[in-house]
Amino acid sequence: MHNVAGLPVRKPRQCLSLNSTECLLKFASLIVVLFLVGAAWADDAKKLGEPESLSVLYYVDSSAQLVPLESQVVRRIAMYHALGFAGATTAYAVKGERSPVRLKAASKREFVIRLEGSLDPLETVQFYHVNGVNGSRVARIANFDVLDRPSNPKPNPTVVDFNAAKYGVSSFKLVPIQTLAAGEYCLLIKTGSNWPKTVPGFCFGIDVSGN
Amino acid sequence: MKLGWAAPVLALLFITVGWAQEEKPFEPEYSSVFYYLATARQPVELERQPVDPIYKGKTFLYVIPSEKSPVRFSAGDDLQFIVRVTEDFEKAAATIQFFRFEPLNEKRQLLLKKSDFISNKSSLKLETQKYGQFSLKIVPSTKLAPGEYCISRTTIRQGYCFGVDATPADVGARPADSRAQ
Repeated sequence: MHNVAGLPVRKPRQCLSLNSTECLLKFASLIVVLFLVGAAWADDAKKLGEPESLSVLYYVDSSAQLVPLESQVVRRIAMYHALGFAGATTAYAVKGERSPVRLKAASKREFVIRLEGSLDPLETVQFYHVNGVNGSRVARIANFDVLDRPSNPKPNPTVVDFNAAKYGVSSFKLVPIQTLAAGEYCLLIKTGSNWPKTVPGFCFGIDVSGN
Repeated sequence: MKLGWAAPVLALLFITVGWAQEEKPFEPEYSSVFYYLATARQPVELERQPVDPIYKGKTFLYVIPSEKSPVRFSAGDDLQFIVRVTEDFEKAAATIQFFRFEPLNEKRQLLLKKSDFISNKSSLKLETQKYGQFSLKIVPSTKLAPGEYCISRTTIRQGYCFGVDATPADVGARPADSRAQ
């Protein structure tokens, strides 16, 4: 076989078996390329949808989509007993007895938040089970006697314990340790070095399956 | 040379495979959760307990249910713990606190001056060092005497507890109180 210039053209050798060094190296190169393409593809697949805004909480649904929670302003209030003569209870309160965001009861719940810098979500987020009281949702946090001294509280049943793990590049997923029972919940975000009287909160309700 | 390009590709393959197979130290998935780092077996999560203080004047009283932790070690064990942190290591190390609790009336109790607790002065002595990419390794500065202990951070509301039991050799030879560290 000759080309247009009349020079002989070398027929490409077909690698039907791996009995030559050239074919062996070609095969190895192909494997390497496939490996690198696969690794890059797997890395892409691992990328998770992260919140765009800082300190906004989302629920992660079963298809890994971020579902916004009810955004609220949470106020710290004092509820006086016998006009204060029997002490008081401080609590966090949110308007409305029921969140418009409803989730079905399920064994696994995950929430996602993007935090500024290197904040620890266990320090920055507090997770409460709240109860409907007189048109509000309330989480009791401490009791005080008539002299405003903290009185002996029992372990706070309204606190929901959770774990936090890295999610994507700059977010965290929050995973409650216990299955969440039906009811109303709010997650509070610390905005400064202390917990001020009003903080942003993200609320939702869980309905019993089938409701 | 026709095949010259294949050599670096192959070298890259071997380097990549070697790197992937390199043994990485265990690091916890969750931040601020403490594990006992065992040398010969899987890390063990310590007993997790909420630690909300009871206020008593200028002191905090911490109460944990049951006199003994279900997580037990022997007085001779080399105890080292790891915790994943999100902050830089120096800042995180300053938040680690370690206390000995007294068993009393089917509970473990600890009474601390409020000011000491806030400044983290009353913690038992610990050595901390960076571990892996995101974690801290924590080692008590001296061998722990038999008793009940909890390790925590000033920034969280959970304590991670365990107990240390006397070894048969220790029985009869009373060990030094770890609080004297």
